Amino acid sequence: MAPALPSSLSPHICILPSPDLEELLESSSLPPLPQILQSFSPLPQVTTRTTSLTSIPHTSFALRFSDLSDIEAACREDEEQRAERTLDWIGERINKSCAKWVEDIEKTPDKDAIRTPWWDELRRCTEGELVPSRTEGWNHPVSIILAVSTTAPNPLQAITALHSRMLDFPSWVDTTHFIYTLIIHPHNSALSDEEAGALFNAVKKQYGLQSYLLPLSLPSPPPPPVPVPALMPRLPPPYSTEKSNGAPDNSRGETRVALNTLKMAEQDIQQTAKFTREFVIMSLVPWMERCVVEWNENYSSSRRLPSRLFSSTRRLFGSTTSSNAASAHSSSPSVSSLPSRSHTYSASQASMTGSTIMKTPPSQQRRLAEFATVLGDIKLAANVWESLRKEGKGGSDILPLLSAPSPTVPLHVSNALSSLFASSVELPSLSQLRALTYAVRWEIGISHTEFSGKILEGERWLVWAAGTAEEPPSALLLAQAAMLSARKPASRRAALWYLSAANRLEKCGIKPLTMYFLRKAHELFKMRPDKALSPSFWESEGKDSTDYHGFDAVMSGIEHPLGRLLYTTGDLSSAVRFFLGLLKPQSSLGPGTSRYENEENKAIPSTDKVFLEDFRVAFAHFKSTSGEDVTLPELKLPFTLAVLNQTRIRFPRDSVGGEQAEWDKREETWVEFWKSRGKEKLEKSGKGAVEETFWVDIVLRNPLDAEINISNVTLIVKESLSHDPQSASTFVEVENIEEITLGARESRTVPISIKSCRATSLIVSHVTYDFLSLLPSTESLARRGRRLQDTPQQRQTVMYAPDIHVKVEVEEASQKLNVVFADSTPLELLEGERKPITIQMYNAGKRNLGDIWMITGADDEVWLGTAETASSTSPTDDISTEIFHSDNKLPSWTPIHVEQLENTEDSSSLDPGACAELNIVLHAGPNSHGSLSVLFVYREQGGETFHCTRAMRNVEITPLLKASATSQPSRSDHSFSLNLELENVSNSNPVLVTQVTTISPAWTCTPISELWSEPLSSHQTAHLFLGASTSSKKPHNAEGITAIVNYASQKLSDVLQGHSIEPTDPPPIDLICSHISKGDIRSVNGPSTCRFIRSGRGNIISRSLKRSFPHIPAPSHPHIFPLYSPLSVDVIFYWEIPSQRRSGHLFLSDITLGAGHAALRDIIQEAESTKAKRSMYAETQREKHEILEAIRDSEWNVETNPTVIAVESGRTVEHDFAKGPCQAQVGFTIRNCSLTHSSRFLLRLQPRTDEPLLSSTFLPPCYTGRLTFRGTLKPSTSTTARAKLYTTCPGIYALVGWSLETEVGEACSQEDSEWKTRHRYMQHPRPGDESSITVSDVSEP
Amino acid sequence: MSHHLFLLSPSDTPLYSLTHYSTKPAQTTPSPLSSNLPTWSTSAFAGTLTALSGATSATQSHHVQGGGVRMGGGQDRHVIQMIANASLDVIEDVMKKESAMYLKSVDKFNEWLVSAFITPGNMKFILLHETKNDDGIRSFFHDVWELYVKTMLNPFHTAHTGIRSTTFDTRVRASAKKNL
Repeated sequence: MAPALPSSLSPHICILPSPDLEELLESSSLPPLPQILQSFSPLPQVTTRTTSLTSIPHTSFALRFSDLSDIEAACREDEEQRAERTLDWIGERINKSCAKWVEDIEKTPDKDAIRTPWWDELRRCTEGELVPSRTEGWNHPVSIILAVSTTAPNPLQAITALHSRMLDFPSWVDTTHFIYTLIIHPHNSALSDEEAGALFNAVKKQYGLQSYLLPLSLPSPPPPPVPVPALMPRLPPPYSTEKSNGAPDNSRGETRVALNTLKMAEQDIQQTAKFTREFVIMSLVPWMERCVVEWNENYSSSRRLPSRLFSSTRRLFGSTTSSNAASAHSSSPSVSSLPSRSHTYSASQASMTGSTIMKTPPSQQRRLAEFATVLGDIKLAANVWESLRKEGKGGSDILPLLSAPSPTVPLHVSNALSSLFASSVELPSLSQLRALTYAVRWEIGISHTEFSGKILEGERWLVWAAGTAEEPPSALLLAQAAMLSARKPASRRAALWYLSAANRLEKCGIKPLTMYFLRKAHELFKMRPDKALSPSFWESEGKDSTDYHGFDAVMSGIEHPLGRLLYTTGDLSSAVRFFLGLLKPQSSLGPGTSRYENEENKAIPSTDKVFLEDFRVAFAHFKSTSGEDVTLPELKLPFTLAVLNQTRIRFPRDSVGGEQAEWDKREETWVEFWKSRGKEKLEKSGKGAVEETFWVDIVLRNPLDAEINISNVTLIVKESLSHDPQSASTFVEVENIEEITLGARESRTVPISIKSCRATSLIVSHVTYDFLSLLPSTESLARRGRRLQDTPQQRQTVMYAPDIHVKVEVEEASQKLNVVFADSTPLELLEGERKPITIQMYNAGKRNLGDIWMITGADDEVWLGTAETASSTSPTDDISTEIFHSDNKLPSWTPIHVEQLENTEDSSSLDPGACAELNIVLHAGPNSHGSLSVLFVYREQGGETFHCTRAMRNVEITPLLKASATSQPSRSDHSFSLNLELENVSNSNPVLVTQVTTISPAWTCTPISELWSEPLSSHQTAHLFLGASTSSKKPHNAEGITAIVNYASQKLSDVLQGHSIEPTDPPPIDLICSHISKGDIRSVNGPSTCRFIRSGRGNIISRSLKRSFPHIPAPSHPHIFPLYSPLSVDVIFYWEIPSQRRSGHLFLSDITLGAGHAALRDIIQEAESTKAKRSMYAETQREKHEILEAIRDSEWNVETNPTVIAVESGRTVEHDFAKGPCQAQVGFTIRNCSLTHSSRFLLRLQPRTDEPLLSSTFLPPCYTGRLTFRGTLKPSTSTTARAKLYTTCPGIYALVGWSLETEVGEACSQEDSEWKTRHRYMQHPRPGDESSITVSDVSEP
Repeated sequence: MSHHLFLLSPSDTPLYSLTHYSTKPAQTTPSPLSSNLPTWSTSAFAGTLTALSGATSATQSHHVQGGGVRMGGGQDRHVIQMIANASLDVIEDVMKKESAMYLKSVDKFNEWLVSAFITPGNMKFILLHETKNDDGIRSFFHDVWELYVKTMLNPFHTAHTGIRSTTFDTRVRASAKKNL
């Protein structure tokens, strides 16, 4: 059984009706004859025979009938132009009816439909083409029926006229057809049946047996119409000729829509069917079979092995066998022998010689293949086609229809298409049309299951055939391919093709179908194919299998054109919805997506801007057309603007300024401080007050890459216990911000103020705004709670704590203190200045405030009191030395209790509404920060919780004085002389130093020079020399010093050993304060001075400790290091600038006098010799080592040579050398500077010195007499060794050439205890020592 | 000539993408009438997607034009992604039949050839390329695989974590430069 071929591969029969026949049919309300006959195609049950005479039954045998003159006219048109017209015509037809199709399909979606209406239309349009082509022979007429009717005045003459008519075909149309004569004999004919029979016989005699007499009754009122198969649509003739026969075209176009009917009587139908059958079986098929047999002879003779072998040698042998028999049809002898060869052939060819391209008709071999295919002789046909293909003469397009599915079939297909497309880049319409024809044939000719099966993958052929053309047919090919893919199911590929189809159709302006395709693509893309993934994959990933993010740009690529189409077609609400959906923040795929190596393509230009603009336009238009009040409730922004976890509530006191961390530190200090005193809590700064404005700071982040604006930004606030979102609207005022513009990807903090008239608990639930001033949007401000991990169930399934809402407590302002600085301008201070500051307090609450504390920064030196009390002097007490008792503890950072308030009747509490002033004195220390931030903690009375408030003032500090000190062992009575240098570093202020005070545990300082009486001008430097000696009240101090040293070594030993530090305080100490002043003396025991001294030194020491011992936690410092080390000397310079009424003091504290004896030597040795416990962390080892080094280098472990030698220098000895050489006495004073340890010394004098002298002005000394001195020096004692210098001539003798050995003994109280040497030292004269003695000669000349 | 690489998780979530512009000259079309291959694969359809890319700029005149995001070579980003996505249909079919990791030129969309690499962990690497370069692509895929394995050694990296490591990016680019 032969396969059902596409109808375009059926025999084409042209009919030439006589005018009388046309009239007859018209009068009988019948269509032209070709249409009538077409209604009888295909014929059922036709049997053909192959060349080997095997019968092949055809269940249906299609025929195509056409009007000869139409075809002749169409052949004259340029093929390319015609193809172009065809494509346009198809597009137009589709455009006309696609809206209805889409509507129908969407109304009743038929999942199983293989063909869509538009595909059917495309197919019919393509198949309906009947005009012969230059490249293939399918449409070349196989037969020409000359039809007359007996109503003609002279039927025989009419027949003769038809026969003698010249065929007006171009030369390339194959003339291999046979002529058939049809005589229609209507019932009402003038001729009787007999006469008609006679006419028929005459015709048979004259024109051969291919004649038929068709008697028809044709009743005068036309019988009821009979439905017949629809006609194929045909391309109307070109515009120029359309006017003449435009009407039939239109009617044809419409018959397609309506049912095609034929108004023929039953009997006539049977007669006509009989004719058609007889025509096919008796004439057409046998004629074609004969052609096939004959042509096959030619074909196989040329294909026979010998002929193929020797074909190239034929020439040589002079063979006359025609080798071009197959190619030139006109010379084919077999054809010439055919009975019905057109006698008009030569004439017509002569008329068409002007034609330039492809003058020859299709080759005989090709016709053979075509005829064999039509007749169902598949074996032969496939053979011939194959050989044609090998010769490059086509055939690839038909072979897929004839071959069984195999992997070679797609290759034929691609071959067929490549021969069309290979030539040029710009695809000509003709190629497009032919590709379309092929594709349609394949789609029809191959059974559906095979076509879209895995081997053939026919849907790809359609895509190939679509090529790059942008005509509607290509788009429909793609759509059909997509539909086939979607059924496979290969939904992702289908989506791509639908999208491509839509894109092409869009350009042709066929909108309904474009939208349908885009929707399909959208739907298919969203569909996710089943994944063969284990369920535990998702479990292990901790992801939900539905949580899928595909390619990011695809959706927008589909939705954007869809939205635009919807907008242009007027479906505004859907368009708006699509545009809104597009406004998703783009998540870039890895770092690769945003950067490109091409310079000009650095980044993807964002599409957000376009989408946003489209949305704005569409939505604005939607609103303007549908009225403002129409809302789309389901319209919701696909992103959120608010950054939830950065939402903050801010109260007025928070806005005082200053760093939050600093305030937090102060609050922590308070909590720490109060912990040991009571259990009352400090209310965190998290409550608003009634009638007080506070702010919700919302961080809005624009996720889009385009500027957006939002308007009417406000908050929804409700009571926390109420479910009604409007519950708080009556008593809460919320600010409404008119408009905010956010730049591309900008983040901005937007404060929105809230004021409540009632004490309540509020939840700030949502933020609302109008997006682009158009779309009202609401965002929740609730955050998801933390992930719960407490129970096994919670750990196994993801559970979260309840949402976290933004909550605000608003309370009655019963206890509320407002604190401001009286003057809020920035303070401009000189360094060291003491500045009285007034703070104003106002009780804004409703209850008394009794317990007020003030917390300043750790470095701030503040004293609570007025300036008068701070600068009080004691003129009566005229002592230059006083004792200052210190607990020797590093001052810790503690709050100050405000006990006395000015301007209040009851100084201890503040009534509601009352104001009070608080006076403080600020000492501008060297390290004061840029601001004075004071936290006030207050409550009504004991037992209540505390509240806090803040005050801040900016401070600018200008340096004024620079002090430094140098010390050296003294040669006079003092142990050391101290040289203080003071420089005025300011630019303008002359500073008067009124008093210098030294503070030391061990040393008393007395002035050697006078204190300056004149003010120190700008950039002037002054010196003051002090002599330091141990106190006369030595005994109690020595013990104190030892106690301190012991304390420190004990604590540091604990540190080194890793023991915990006991919170014990260092032993108290008495400090000796020496004052040097010109006028009244300011006592250190004054309350403010006392505090400033403590805090001044404390700040310096704790800072240096933090620097030196970074690994020892700062909070433990007060329990390790005493405030004063025994040998330290602090100097305070009191200064004033009388003209500006400013005063202050400068603290100088890095002086150490006296010798230390490595007090920590033992514990360091112990720590070093302990078997090291190795830690697995190198970091720990390193830290330990660093601590040890820091302790070794600390001031507690200073080791110096305690003995100091002072040579009696500069003396002049007068001697009369006439009386002989001089023996001058030289005193070497050796002093033990140690306050604690005794020393033994050995002074050696060298009789002669060999070492070179400093300068030639000095003479070398020559000692005589006792040259070695020994002795033991108790702490802070001295002795003088007197040696003799032997001189023979006058001169200046350098006092060098000595060496001093010192042994420091262990400190021990008992006199008789055994000497133990702790350290040994050796001293020599320093290089450059200019100690000398002058010996002058007083002898008489 | 550009290449587009996509790394997809087993659930087809894109984790990384790269567009690489080869500096190597585009190979000429293989000799015509090669027996097995359709000869039109590269030249004739080269304009298809270029034409497609302009499609998003629809016909409204009052709209801001330029909706199409151009990537190098005039390709729409979404079309490239769509092609990669569409190729998954074939890749999944082939995966079931073959055990090879490297699936060379497994699919073809107009001028784009699609090669894929399936790791044992079911990760899919998809490369869109315009000319055949089997060996280069194979070694490129192996490099990417190795780099991906190194990335996966990060215990915080799951099969769905997008790869944002700049080191990975740099190395993939280097390998692309070398091999493609």
